[in-house]
Amino acid sequence: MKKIFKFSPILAVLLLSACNFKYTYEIQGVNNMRGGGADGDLWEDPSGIDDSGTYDIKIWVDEKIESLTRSQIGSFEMAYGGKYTIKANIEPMDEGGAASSMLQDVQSGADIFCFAQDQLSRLKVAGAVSKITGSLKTFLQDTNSADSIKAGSINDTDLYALPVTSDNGYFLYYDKSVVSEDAAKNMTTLLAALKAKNRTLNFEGRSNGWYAASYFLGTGCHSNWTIDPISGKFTSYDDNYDSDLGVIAGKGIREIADASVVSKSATLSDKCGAVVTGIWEYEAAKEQWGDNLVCAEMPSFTVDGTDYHLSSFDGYKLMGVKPQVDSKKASVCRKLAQFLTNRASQLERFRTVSWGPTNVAVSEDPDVLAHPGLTALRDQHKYATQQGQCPGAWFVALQATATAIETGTSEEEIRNILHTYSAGLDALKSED
Amino acid sequence: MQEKHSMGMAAKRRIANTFAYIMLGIISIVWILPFVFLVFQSFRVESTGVVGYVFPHKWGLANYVFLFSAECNFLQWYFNTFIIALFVCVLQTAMQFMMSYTLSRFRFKLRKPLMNIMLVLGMFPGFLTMIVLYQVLKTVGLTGDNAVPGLIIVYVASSGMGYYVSKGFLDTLPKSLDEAATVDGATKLQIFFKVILPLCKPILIYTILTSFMGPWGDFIFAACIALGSQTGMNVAAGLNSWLQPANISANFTHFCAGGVIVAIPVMVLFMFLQKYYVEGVTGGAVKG
Amino acid sequence: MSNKYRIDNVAKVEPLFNKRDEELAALKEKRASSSLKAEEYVTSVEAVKCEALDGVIELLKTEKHELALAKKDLEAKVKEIEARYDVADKAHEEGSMDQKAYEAEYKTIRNELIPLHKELLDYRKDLLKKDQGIIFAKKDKLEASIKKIEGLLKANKANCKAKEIEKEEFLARKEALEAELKELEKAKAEVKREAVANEQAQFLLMSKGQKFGYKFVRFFESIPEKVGGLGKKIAKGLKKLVINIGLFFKGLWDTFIHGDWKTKISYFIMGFGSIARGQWLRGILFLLFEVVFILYIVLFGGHYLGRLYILGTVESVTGDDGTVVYGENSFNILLYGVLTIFFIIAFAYTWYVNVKQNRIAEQIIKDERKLATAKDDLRAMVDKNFHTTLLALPTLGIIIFTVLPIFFMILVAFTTYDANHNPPLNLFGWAGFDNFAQLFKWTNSGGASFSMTFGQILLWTLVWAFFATFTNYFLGMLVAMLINKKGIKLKKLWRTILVFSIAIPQFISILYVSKMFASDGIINNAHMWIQRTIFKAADPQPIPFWDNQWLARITVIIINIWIGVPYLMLIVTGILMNIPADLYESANIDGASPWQQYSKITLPYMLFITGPYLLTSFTGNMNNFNVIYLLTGGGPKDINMFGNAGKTDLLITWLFSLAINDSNYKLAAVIGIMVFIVVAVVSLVVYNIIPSTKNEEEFQ
Repeated sequence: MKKIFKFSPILAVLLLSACNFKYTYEIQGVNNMRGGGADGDLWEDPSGIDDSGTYDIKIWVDEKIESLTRSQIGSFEMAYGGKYTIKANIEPMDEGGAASSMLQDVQSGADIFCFAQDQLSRLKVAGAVSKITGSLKTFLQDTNSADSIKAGSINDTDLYALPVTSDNGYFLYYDKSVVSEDAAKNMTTLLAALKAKNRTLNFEGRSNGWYAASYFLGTGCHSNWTIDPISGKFTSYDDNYDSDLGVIAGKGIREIADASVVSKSATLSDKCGAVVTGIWEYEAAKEQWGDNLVCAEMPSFTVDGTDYHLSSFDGYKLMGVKPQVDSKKASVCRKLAQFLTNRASQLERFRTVSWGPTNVAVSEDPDVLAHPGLTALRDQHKYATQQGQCPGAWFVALQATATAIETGTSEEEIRNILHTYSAGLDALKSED
Repeated sequence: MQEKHSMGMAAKRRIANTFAYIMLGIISIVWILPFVFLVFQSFRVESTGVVGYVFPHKWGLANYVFLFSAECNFLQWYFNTFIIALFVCVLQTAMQFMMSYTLSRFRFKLRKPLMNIMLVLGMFPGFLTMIVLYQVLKTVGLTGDNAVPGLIIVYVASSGMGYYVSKGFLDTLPKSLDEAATVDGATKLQIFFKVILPLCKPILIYTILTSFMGPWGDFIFAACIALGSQTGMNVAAGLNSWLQPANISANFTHFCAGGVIVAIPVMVLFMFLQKYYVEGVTGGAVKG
Repeated sequence: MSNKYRIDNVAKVEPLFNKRDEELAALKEKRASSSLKAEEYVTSVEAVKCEALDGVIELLKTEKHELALAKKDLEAKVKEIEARYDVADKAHEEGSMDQKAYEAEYKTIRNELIPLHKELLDYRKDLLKKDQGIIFAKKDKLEASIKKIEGLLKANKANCKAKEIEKEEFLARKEALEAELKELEKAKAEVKREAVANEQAQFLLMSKGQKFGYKFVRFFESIPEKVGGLGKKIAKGLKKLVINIGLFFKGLWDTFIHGDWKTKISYFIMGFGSIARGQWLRGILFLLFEVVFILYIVLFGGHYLGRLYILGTVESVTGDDGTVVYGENSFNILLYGVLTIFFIIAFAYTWYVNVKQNRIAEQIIKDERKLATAKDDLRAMVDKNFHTTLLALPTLGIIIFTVLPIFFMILVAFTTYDANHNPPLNLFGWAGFDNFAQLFKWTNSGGASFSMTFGQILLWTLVWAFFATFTNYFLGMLVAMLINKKGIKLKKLWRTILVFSIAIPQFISILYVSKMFASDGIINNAHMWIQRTIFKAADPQPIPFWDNQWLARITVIIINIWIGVPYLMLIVTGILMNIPADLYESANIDGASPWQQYSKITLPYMLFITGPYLLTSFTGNMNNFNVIYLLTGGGPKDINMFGNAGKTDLLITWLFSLAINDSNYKLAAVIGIMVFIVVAVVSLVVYNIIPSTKNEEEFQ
């Protein structure tokens, strides 16, 4: 027992330093404040509610922009000339997990939070996002791309979230010392080039529905889900994956079932020569491949002599504002969320973490236009499909479908797999 | 056959032992290699993602430096977990001991029913009740930023149900000890503290050790109770969040370094208290 | 009646009792018409009873005699068969019988003897039963005689002295009988033990397959008996319960009627009586509890309890300005409703204790004894009632943090609580058995059904638990034996290396290992390198550890060995040291090979000692969340399975993903209940099959 206590001084020092770090950290956050937003960045609330005061606001954002958000809140306070004092409690939360945490306890969850667009309907059902109407909606529509507003809307009409980034899609990164520009245009040649150099393509085309959809969407399949505007539940769907087009996609997937060259991963690894993933891997790819890094649109794939260009999802990251019991706080939260997604904030985020903007003005910024990753996304845009809203389980169903297809799967078998997929869709609808 | 017969016992044994040494060598390597790899990875500085090789191309302390830097909450998580483990090991041991001592030394009407009820309760999967526990703790304000005391309560409250091992040990202590003390006029409280407790050192240390270890590995409950709060997060939940798809490329080596640091206190404790742990595990299984 | 005396021949005893009952009825009539004095009535009644009992004893004796005769016959038969051993021995010695035939003969004899031994034991058991019956009858007769004498004494005082002596004598005889009865109990226990031993001996003679089959058959054979026993027990329990409830209320009523005014007031103001009688500590505690309870119900619990039947109707309203007015919260209604029920039960019990305290206190005052003071109460807490003091906190913790939540989740299985009925915005309601019905709905509207998926996952869960338990068990034993082998040095080092893997939190080691087995992980890289450079394979493929369902299942079992063996190694090491060394020594002298020593000594001993451990480890593996969740996350996913389940999902991981990812709490609760049922059934079956069902008192 005595021996345990010998360590106590060390631990005490550790503890003290832990407190210390936290403390200095907060000071830095405050000093980091930058100037307020430019004219036209602020939405003017027509309701004229007197909401000045001090507010405790809990915010969940990706850990990459945690400190940036802190300074942006400082800017917010300055932009409103000290009308609001925000005691922000900013916690890092990855956008995929935000919805689950919000659903666990809406009331204790964040007041303002970022999430990936496929979570919108879940959040809406649970009452974790408030509806945006009136002049704020108009303001957002005026300043952001139409697609990004659609992404935050349910059934394209009711807006429930503010667009944050336009880059929640995927494209192809490759190492040009391994793959030539021509080879990267087609899956077959891409895989051959990689195999020749004993490198891999990291692509979750068979192990993740979100990526697997690229094949089906590429042949012209669609799966559209309708949401009941009141309850937010999925009521019906229009899906043609179980068709000849789907079979073509299935045949295409057989090619990436070759595990010796396709690695089921959406991140970089030391052995990969190409990777299909989103903008969030840009820094890591840049570090790994340096000047050899090329960002490009998705390749095409060839089935029975015909080329089909791989599609992708045009995905967005959104910011939700939780419905508040206190109408003043609700008003301030909206203003703050608006501020955090406006032109200046989006530009700042692009400059710091290279996130693609949804703001029309920022999209035309020369630096944004020059960014290779965002350029690749723009190039891919013409093949991409609006992600829209679909049940989370649909992605898993699609994943299971793609996983079931192996290199040797016959056309007949592909048809059967798609029948099974199609038969399971009813179960994904909300029960009542 | 002929050859074997001509060999002496000693030679036979030598061959058998050589074989045993080879086996043990292989076993040791298999068991220890993943940890060695983990340590190697924690010193890799050329990239932060998952790689398919063992030896870093460039060695360095960058990952450890990151853990202790201001931009990382690791120290906060670590501190939280340490506090939780400290409280839990004291309180849980106390609770378990109260339960096992009573069930081992006293005979009262509700004893058997109580044991049976606890047996039945133990058959329900624990995760099921997580959401309820969250709400119960929320009612008293012990979630989110205050998750540390909340977690302590959750870990400690039901720990009476894990009485088996220490009861098994207490059952082996002769009852005559108690009887002799009773004859001398000691109250039951005095018997507990003066007679029984001093004899329980091995099992006490075992219980303390296991209950100290528990909180370091809980990444489900802790994340649920903390609900995203960094102030309330424990180290397992925090490290686990680094392995989410969006973070893993930037954080895998940090995870490895964090894992090494988490393993250190527990391993150090083990080094010194291994004897008691072995006694506890063996005793618990045989007698429990 | 006849059963009490263990009479088999019911037909014969019926008339005896009938005659007695008739006579008793006649006497009763006489008494009613007052043609009989009270004392005379008693004496006559007892005399009739004595007469009947004499008949019973006679009958029992006959039955016992018959049994003894049958037993003798059987014993003779057994001897006869046993004599064949000697014949065989002789033949073998002389060489007229070869080894094989000799062994076969031995086996047949043994097999013939086994049922006979069993029968013999049954006879002994029955004989003892008869003895017991006789004693019971004798005892009752004595009691009747004593009453008769007492009646006589009252009626006729002249005969006083002699009768008094007779009574004393009877009392002494009764005491003797009671002692005899105790002896009998011991003999019975002895027979029971022998029966068990006999069964064990019989068991040991069987081959492995036979053994398993035997246990299996035995278990199912015993089911009707057990179920029947259970039914009887339940019926008995219910009867007892009804009677006790009646007595309970009668007791409450009597206490109120006969109690003094302090007691009466205590019915409404708890603790009043105690305070009034000077036991202020208890009194104040009672009073405080009542006040807290009333405040709780009025201010908080009553509302929730009242809404429990519907779980809320007031919906939330969201406004366009980003505001919300929350309606009723079904979750809180259910939670606090359950809490309130728990509280009411606790209150009712405390109230009862409070009333009982008054009754006891009145009795004590009546007996002119001293009431316990506050100081006495405090002292009792650490002495007489020390166990209550010790249990208070752990039990309270278990009730609030285990019992209450489990009760809550069981109720959730009967509600519509899922993603679409998620409080606080949405309400959920009662659903009856709808969720359970899904388990039996074999077809869904095409696609994957819940029931099929449940069946598949349950099967895999059992298969997994079986392999996870036994691979660990035998490999752990192997490693322990290697380390403990004579002549192996550095024992402590080997052990420490393995033990260290316990010290590292599982989530770190398992997560790391799962990355090692990925298609671009260390293992596959090594594999590809070997393929390419050593086997010169042109197109090596990585091993799809996590993608192929069979490979994934095998891999999790193998990695689980890596995780579990160190624990087993420790446990086995402890037990190995306890195996008596002389067993091995004599085996060595007999020239037994190491394998024989293992299979004949080590393994049976281990299995016997670790039976209960194997059981807990089996059920533990059924719920082994960490390994599956961290290694595969349940994958590979399968399109034919419901609710995103995968091929390596256990019930527990599936439950988790349903609850956390899909917020489908209602189905998670159903699965939770099914897990409980499966674990309980498995435990029951296994517990009945394993040999070492240990007696906990054995060690003290």
